[in-house]
Amino acid sequence: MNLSFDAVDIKYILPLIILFTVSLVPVLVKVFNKNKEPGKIYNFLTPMLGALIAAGASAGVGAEFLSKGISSKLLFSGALVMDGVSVLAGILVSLCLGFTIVLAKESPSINKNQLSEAVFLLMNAAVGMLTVLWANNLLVMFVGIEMMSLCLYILVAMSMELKLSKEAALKYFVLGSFASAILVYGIAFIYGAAGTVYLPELITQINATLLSNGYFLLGLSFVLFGLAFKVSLFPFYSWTPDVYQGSSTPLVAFMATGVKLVAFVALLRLIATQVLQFQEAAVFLQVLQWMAVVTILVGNIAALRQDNLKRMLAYSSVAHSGYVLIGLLAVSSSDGQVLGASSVLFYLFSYVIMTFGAFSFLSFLEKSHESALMISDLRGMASRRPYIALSFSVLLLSLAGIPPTVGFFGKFYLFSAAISEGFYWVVAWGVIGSVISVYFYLRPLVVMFMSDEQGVDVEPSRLGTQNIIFITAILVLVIGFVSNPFYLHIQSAIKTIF
Amino acid sequence: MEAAIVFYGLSFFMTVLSLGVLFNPNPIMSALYLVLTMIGVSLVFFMLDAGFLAGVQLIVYAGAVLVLFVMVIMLFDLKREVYTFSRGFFTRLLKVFTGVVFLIILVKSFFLVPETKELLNSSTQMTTKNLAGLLFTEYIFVFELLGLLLLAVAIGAVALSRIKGGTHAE
Repeated sequence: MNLSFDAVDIKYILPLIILFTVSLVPVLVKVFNKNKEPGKIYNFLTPMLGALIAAGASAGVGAEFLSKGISSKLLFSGALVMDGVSVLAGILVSLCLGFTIVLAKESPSINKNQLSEAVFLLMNAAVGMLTVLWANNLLVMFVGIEMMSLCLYILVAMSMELKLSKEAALKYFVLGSFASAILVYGIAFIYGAAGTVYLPELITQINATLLSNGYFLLGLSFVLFGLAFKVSLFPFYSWTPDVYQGSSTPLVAFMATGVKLVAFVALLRLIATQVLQFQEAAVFLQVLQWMAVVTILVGNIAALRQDNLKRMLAYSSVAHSGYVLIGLLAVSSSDGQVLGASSVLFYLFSYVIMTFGAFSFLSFLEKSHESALMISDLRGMASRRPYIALSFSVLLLSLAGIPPTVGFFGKFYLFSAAISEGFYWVVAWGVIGSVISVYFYLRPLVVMFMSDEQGVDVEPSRLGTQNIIFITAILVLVIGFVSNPFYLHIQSAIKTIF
Repeated sequence: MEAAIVFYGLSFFMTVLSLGVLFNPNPIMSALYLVLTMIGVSLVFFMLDAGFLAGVQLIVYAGAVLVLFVMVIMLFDLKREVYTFSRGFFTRLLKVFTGVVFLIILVKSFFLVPETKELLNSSTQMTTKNLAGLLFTEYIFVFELLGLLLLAVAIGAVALSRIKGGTHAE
């Protein structure tokens, strides 16, 4: 029997192989060390290095593509696709993983007696994420999503905190498995109707007859809703604040950025099959528009009423999903694809950077595994820790979308892509949502800079976390100032998927 | 004709057995009814010429998964769990409500797609050998990835059993 793939294919999935192999190191060392927790070298430095090498390997694939002038490559008889999107998002996921490992090492809410298992699960969640990014086939996408989600369910339950984390883990697990079941049910219907789950083949299959097939529509809506759960769009968002509140903060930083990034890339690949262009699918477009509007409003209005910083950021991440969906609407129409997709990707990247920074700030301030940071805890932050307070302010301003930051340009590209496709009223609601959001993003700022009272004391020893806050804040400003080259780069990367 | 008689007979028994799973107050008996239902499902697969799936259904579901179920049932303090989940007027109302909603969805979905269609590619015979060939060529990546998934989940389960506060934290 001849194998239908080249051994060369393995070269391109090196990031995944590196991550998995390195993830075994801390666990194996622990096993051979009579179940004693290994030291810093195995629990921290090796996985960090692994994540960085994986990011480098992704970048290497990108460099090879650039030098050879090829735009995309199919691997393993079409199961995976390597294109600009997979490479760029892959680098970002690996970097997020590295940052999360730093946070996890310094956070009090991660059980230090189980750090090696936590690192193992984090790295395998990243393996799942890379698979979703590369997936060219709905089945591969599903397996990747499951790999990522199962690792995350366990990680949520492994927090040091006892009550909320168990509730969050069970809630996330039950609801998440339900969503996954709906997703795979939808994939089965799509296979039954179209005879394929392979995305490039699906593109050629989609036509008016297929779209009048009830089975196909049922499958498509199930797949859309399964993915909508993962990115917490409106009717499926209610798990987000509870799960984020119950999970340890480093993990939330990883979930809020990584999971959203890859699930939106999966949605992008699905919508890039141009399935929503047809007249028969107009009702989907209607539903998605309303979902975007209500998600933005619900996220922003609920965040107004939160005093708990983590819940506030959780609702804000719900609202940001709504903004990204506006960009996806532009992708679904026939001539705004490249514009819409590159604005979506640019926004996702900027969202990942600023959200990761904001959650690292929470992780930096938490004194023990049980501390729930309130906005009033930030009082007098600016006088005690001026640079940290300044960096957090930059991140918040970027989340709110105030001009020189990357958040503004992200929203600008998104909204202009949607306007050029004629989604005026959705964009109007998006702008209204951003205006509302300014209020709750500015509240911590006011408390930090204008109040002299003492809030919570700062842990001085978390150097890594501190540096991550600085790095993300600087990135937010730098990419904000020179956003156009970045945007053009993403645009050239995105052309390969159409 | 014979196939139809066997199929409807099987379906009838499976329905009765699955009702037994639902209505039996003793969870161990429920699990045993579930074994019988699984065997029925594997027979249906066998009738559809899916020998491999039938075998997997028997080995994995009727064998491994059920043993796991029974073990977990023995580990839990079931009286307390039963008490927590089956009291109160509101809970009962919610159960009935969800049941009715799902029934409506089920009936509606039957009317949504009234016509029956031939399965695509129904002519190709899916033997175990073909399946294995596909698994190790076209789907090799997913197949290997599922291996990683199982490993991650196994280690995760062990880690979960050793978390601070145990699995039944107050």
